[in-house]
Amino acid sequence: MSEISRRAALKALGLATASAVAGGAVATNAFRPQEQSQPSAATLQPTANVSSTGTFSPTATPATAPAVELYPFEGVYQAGVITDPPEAVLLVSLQVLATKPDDLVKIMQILTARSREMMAGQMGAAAAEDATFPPHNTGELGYDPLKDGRLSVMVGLGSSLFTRDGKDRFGLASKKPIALKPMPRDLVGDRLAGSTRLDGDILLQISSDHPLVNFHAFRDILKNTKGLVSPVWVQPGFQRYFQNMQPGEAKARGLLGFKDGTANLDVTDAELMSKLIWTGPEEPDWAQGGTYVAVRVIREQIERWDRLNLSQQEASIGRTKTTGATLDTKTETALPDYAADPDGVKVPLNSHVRKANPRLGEESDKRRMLRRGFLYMNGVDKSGLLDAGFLFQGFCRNIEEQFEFVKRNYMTNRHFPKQNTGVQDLDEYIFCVGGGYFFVPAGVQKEDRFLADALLLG
Amino acid sequence: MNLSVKSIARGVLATGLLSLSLVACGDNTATAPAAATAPVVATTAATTTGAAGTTAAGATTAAGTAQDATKAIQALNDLGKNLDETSAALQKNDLAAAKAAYKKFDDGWDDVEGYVQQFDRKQYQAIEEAMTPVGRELLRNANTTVATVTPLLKTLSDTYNNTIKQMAGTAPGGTRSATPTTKAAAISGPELDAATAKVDQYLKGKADKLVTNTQAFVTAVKSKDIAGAKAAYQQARFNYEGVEFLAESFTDMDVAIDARPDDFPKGENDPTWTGFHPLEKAIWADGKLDANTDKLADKLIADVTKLRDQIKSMTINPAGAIAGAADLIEEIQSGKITGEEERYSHSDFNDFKANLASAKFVYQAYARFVKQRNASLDADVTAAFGEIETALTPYFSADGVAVDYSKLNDNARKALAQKVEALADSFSKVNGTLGLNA
Repeated sequence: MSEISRRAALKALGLATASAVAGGAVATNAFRPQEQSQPSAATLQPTANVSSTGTFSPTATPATAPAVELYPFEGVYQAGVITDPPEAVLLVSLQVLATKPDDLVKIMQILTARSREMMAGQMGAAAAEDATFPPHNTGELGYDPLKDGRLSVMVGLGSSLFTRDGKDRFGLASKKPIALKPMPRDLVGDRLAGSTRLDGDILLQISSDHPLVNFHAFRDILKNTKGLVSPVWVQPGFQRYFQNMQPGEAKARGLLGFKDGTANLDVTDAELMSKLIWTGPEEPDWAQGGTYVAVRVIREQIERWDRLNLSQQEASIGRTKTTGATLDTKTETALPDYAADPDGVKVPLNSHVRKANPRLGEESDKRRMLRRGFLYMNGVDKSGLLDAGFLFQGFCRNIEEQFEFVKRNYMTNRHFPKQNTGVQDLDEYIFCVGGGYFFVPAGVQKEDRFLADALLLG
Repeated sequence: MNLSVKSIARGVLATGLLSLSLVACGDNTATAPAAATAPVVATTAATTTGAAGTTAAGATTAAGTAQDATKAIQALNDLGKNLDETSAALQKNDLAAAKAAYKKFDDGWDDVEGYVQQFDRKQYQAIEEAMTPVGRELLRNANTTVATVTPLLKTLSDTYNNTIKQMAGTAPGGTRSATPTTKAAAISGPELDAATAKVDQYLKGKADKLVTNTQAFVTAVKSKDIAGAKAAYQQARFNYEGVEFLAESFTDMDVAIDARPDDFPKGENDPTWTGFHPLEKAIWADGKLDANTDKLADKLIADVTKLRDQIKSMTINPAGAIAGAADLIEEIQSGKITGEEERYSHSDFNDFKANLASAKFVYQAYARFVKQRNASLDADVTAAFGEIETALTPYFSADGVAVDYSKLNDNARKALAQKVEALADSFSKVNGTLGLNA
């Protein structure tokens, strides 16, 4: 057995212990990432049982567990948060046209029903079509059930669904999650004036391994919600993930060429997820077990970045480009020692790594979020420059205390970590052009339930 | 422009500050922090290629650098000595010594495994797999025997040493050759120093002009002379843009003088927004000069004067000056081309020209050194400057006043932007060609 699988085993055992201690549904019903999931695509129910993956005997071949091909719709949490990100995403912001609370129920029921079927690979059988009606299945993915593609449709709710222009639209204002609000317009460095990609009543994060599958799901949902919702903005994205990475290692690189996701939260650590990602008793009953997401469309000045010399790029990020190690260490997973480098001689004070995660112990540890980023490319802008960048999604238990705190108090605070440090150097090359704050309700756990039903019926 | 200290300007800043703070110590050789943080110098020649690549699966796409590779091999060789010691101890039947030596290897592996991982994930896994049984026997099995451990250790040693050879390019396999490449030697000498002195004088002269022209602008503002202030504004801005990259070395000064409202939480209404741009707004957008603009004007001239004094105390170095010039060219693109900087006066062409003039002056000071090393690069840069100057001519009146940038149509905007791109692209190779690292 290799060192790698020994570590994976230890990690998994740690998880097993944690869930045994917790003894609750949360740990055992959670979606698990690809490498620890059941091998059969037929196993759509989240019957997590860590020890049953059976690769932990010292004599076993250190084979990688077969990949999950479809994500279950039902679960304690919605798919699309801690499930392994697939290779393509479609972010969709919807506006609710309907005005009655009953219509909102209808919208959520349709989203639930369509997501449930499509995530199971059921795009619509040929036999179900009636020649005298427009077809249910638009057909571009064929009529056989999809066996792979890892489609998930994650639904988020914007603050405008609760209150808009001071009005309680659906009688839900009193149930609004405590930290939900429109994305602030005053975050330093954002260029949101005239943005056409801001906010929304409902967010759909449609992700799968192919853009066409995402598009199909989007098209299907739109087709089934005519008159109830209308799309406000849509942003496709993509990423190419490395396989078999260990916790703490990045699974991808960004367009700037640097590893992205190093030291991201370990989604197999149920205790950590409960502490930093899943909402708890601080929220109204219906909103517990959910999470917030900060969506940020971040334009990167690709051409300009590509002309910086390597050492300038590395000083801006604070990591070695090839290995991903911080500039004061040798390996990606080695921890930087900022206390030993108070003036930023090795890792500059305004470098991205130091501004985004200053490693102040508990004070900054509790601010961390789960990042699930994709890349985008929308062609070229008016100057003929690449209109491309990063689709940031930061999941947090409390969006103000985590994402927004880090942004305001660390990254764009000119006097952090020291007087006149300036904002992070990277902001010279990137800027936010759109996005929104959303609340992601808990998952649907039974066939007769639907998304956010506890909010709408409770 | 944004408010951050640019890493490119940091070399200039650091040298400036060091020359201020270390004069008493007589230390002229202090290295700028930016240079110290930069482990690698990129030159076109420094990109390693996969010449010896035979293992397609698990190929790493990352191209390391010669310096990285040398460092990695050295570290792996050092750690490998512990395996040799383990082997020697086993031959002497000294299990205790073997355990101690192997523990050192096991502990040290965490520090170097990243190099192997980076080089080839399969090799990395092979080493880890070979380590597992050795670790089990030597570190965890109290009843192990020399006979059990010896073949296991040999497998590990062979795998480990073979990996090092592959990384050093002396054995086949691996996904890329780590053959060290040479980087251009840094230029130096009295001729270079003379060129730098010229740049130094030019930039400091600009700083003086900045104070003079800002004073004229401030006087017009305080006498509530809107027409006069409009005319003086362009002059003052022209000089500021020419030394902007130096100003950015002092974040607080750059924020005080040249910040855009987007850089403040309360935007245009933020009471801490000072410098040229709130005055620009008062003159063009509000058409109103009052007690508040008097205060802003007083602060502006005080800040500009302070900046001038700071610039004069700096020591300009060639790498910093060239990186700064590159940055001035980039500023044209990110600030002016999108028409965001001078959002009230739309006098962006004026800034455009100022940035270009300073960048060109710096380049011309060093052009002959570039020509000696890469004549075609020099030809490209020179031609690109000329192209842009020609393209800009129609946007200035006979007496040198810039036309309203917002009137530029999309085709013209794109054509200009692409010319700036061509210049910026060639210019980005200048420092590396001279063996300099900002």
